[in-house]
Amino acid sequence: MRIVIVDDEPLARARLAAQVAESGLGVVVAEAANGLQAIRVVESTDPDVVLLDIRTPGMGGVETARHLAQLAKPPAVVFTTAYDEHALAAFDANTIDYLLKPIRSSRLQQALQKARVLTAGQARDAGVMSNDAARTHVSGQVHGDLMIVGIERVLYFQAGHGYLDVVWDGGSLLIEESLRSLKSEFSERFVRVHRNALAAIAHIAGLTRDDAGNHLVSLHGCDTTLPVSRRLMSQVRTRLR
Amino acid sequence: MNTIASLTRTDPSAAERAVEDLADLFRASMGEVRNLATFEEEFDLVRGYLNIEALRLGTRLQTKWDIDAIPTSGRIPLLTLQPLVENAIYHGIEPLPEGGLIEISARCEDERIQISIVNPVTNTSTPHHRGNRLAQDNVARLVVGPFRGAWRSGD
Repeated sequence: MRIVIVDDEPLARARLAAQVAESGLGVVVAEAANGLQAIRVVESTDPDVVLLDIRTPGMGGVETARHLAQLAKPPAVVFTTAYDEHALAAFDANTIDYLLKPIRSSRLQQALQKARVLTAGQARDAGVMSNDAARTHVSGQVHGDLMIVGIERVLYFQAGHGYLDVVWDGGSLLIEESLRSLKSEFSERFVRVHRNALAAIAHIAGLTRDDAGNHLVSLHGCDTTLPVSRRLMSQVRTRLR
Repeated sequence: MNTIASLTRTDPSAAERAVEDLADLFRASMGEVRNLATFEEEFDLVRGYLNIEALRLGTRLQTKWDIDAIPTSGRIPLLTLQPLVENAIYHGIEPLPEGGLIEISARCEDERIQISIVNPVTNTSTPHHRGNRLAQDNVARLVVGPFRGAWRSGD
């Protein structure tokens, strides 16, 4: 099997790589020090298994796993952690496996054997996406590449025909998610301004009207204005207070 | 422990030093709760602890000491500063992909000694993992109790 190791500590990666080599069950094709790096590396190396530290700095391991699950060929994810209680609270039978550090070689072999039995498709269905906490990033395809954008940089989400347009301060990307699920996930940061749009409260510059008297919301760092539904107007005003 | 397990393969003498530093910390933590140490002894414990963390975090952990202004023979409850430095790393270095600087400084003013431990994480940052404040509560108890010191947390 082809394996990627993700851990912010070089010595932890070195030991795990040596243990993988000794197990004879796989070969380490790449390493990454944090979640964002991990997604890039997994995309380019297409591994079967990712050994993923839960506490990677920046984007945590759990969220990293959710982004990995959206890749065309998602790898099986095995979490590693130095914290027993954390693992027990956050994971149930849905997770392929998790390993406590310092990882025993026999446990690593068990996990890798388990991963070998599972197909990548089953890994996607295994429920690593079931975590309820709001993501800190959204990811989607731009010209065939996976693009990852911090949620604080997103200006608005707008639904089109069968896709969703994410407009952020550096461009835009398309994602395959529903406005409804985004609304509930990011309800703290975003307000629904229209049947087809969510606007980032922190980026809203103000409310205006066009010549016909329709309400519009304007956003910092963006020339586009979004129409505001009449029935949502009072809710929008409340959230902007 | 994971760090030491890794070092035993690649750098046995570094593993040996880490075990020695860890032994000092274990010994201190199993001692009498109200033992008073000199500042020198407590700073030594902190240095040993930082050596271990430096192995683990590599260049992500930088430290700066400015403690010459206080008498090193002064007394302090054992393991008062080490848990705070540990906190500073847990909440202030580990969440940052690039790491950062821990500053430990001590001043003497109006017959009071003030020790500051500063990490680079600000209040506006996303919390890494909310702690249970155990370390701060324990230290406050040590300092405010029999020692009659003043304790102020800057979070």
